[in-house]
Amino acid sequence: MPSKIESVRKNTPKPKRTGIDKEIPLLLVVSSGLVAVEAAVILLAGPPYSLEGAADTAVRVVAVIAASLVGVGAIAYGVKKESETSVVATEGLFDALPMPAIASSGKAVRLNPAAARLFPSVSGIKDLPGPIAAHVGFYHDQKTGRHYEVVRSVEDGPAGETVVCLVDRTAELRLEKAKNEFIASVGHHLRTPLTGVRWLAEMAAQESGKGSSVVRKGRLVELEKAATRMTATVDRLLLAAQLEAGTFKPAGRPVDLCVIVRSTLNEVAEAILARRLAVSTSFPESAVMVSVDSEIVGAAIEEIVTNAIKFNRPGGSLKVQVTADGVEVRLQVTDSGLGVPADLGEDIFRKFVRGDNLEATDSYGDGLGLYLARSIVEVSGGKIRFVSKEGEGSSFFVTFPSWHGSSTRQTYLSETGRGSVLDHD
Amino acid sequence: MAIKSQIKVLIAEDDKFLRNVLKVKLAAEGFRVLAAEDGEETLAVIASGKPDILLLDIIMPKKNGFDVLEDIQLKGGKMLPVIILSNLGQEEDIKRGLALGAVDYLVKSDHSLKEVVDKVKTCVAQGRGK
Repeated sequence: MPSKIESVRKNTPKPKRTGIDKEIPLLLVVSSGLVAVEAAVILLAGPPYSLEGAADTAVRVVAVIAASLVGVGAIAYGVKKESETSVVATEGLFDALPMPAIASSGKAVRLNPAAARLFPSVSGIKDLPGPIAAHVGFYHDQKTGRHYEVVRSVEDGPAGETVVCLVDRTAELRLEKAKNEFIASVGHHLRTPLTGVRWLAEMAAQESGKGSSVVRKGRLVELEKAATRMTATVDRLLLAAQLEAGTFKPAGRPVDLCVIVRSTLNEVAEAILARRLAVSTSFPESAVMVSVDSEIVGAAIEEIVTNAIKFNRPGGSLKVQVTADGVEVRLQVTDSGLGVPADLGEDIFRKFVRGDNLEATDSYGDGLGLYLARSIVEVSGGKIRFVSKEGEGSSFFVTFPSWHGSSTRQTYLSETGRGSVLDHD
Repeated sequence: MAIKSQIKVLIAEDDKFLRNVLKVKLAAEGFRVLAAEDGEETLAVIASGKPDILLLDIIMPKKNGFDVLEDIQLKGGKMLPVIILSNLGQEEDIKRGLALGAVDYLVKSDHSLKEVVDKVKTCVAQGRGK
């Protein structure tokens, strides 16, 4: 059975060419490679060498994707840097510069107001951090956590001083880190199952004619699972590309949001049990209708709920509540997990961004979950926000405008029957 | 085969699929196989099972492979021969792994199963695994 995201991808038009073109055709190539792997799985009754070859090809394509994304990041960084290094050091401008600027001559230094705020007790060049005194390198301010590049002005100061500016590179470094993590993540998510396919194919070839049919069937099942995992990863990347390109336009139809939420909870029931979470749910007595594509909104809700499970503590709590006030329908998902670091804020919804506090967890996600969730909710006419306290947990709120039509209400009311294993309200 | 059956290989790999493939293959080659699915379990099995060789993944839950190597180093004593088997293949990862004491660093997707087993055999033949 195809995943929600897979079926959505297959039913939407191909993206138009945009600023992220570079990613899209490459991803389509990977997708083709994976189709080849899946086809080979089905045909494995024959010689397995073609399967091994398909897996090998896909591994190479993954490497090309990673190289391509690194290149895009490097170009973007280079352009920005070039535009910021031209600093004019006339007297008035020196003090007016919004960035910290330091003029030095021999042992004496002069700081503009922004630099004075950063270094309140500097009286001479000996008091400045090494890179600034040396006019080159990077300076990390421990107090604020910000990273500055020390950029020497192209002109000397009015009194023949050497002028350096501190250009805040915190955002670029965070983006760079996120991109590196994404490349590692995609590599991990695609290479691991591909490696499994390759190794199993190798074993199957060596065991040809020796193994029992049960063993052989087991190998085929594992191969199919591996190919399915790869397909899911590629589908998520493609959907992210379509959402970014603005070519993904889900069709809204009236549906009871509770139906979508209950269905999602059933799909993640196994993960909830594995984490031994105490689940509480609360749904309105009557249907709360919204007009959305139930499949894709279900995928967004699944991303949110999956995060609440994955980053929860074992034996923690998960609360899922749907409410309506006649104007809008609201879903609240609350967990008792790791929480979102305060400095991340809304960045948590950006692609490839994850909290530093997740590094010690068992999750090595693809960095797309909350990006997909927000993009899907917003393209479906809804809103998403969250509140969180690091170490205590998070609540995510998703709202959609209430749908007040009447023609299909009866039809959808019939879908709200209870009976879910997680339905405790 | 009789000699190899005395050699205990610990497979530290969080991916169940790959872990099982490695277990089946190494057992078929006559090794005694131990397995762990995260970094903390790896350290526990090293202490309890006394493996002769460790096949170590890097991206693992709870503690990654680099952390495991650091913990092994901190405990001192004779260094357990470690072959890193990871899909992290950046030069800095490889340098870091080798600097932390691994005898070899294999990028999974670049090596066949036979090549991985051959590396383990070579390690044993060189006396690093016993």
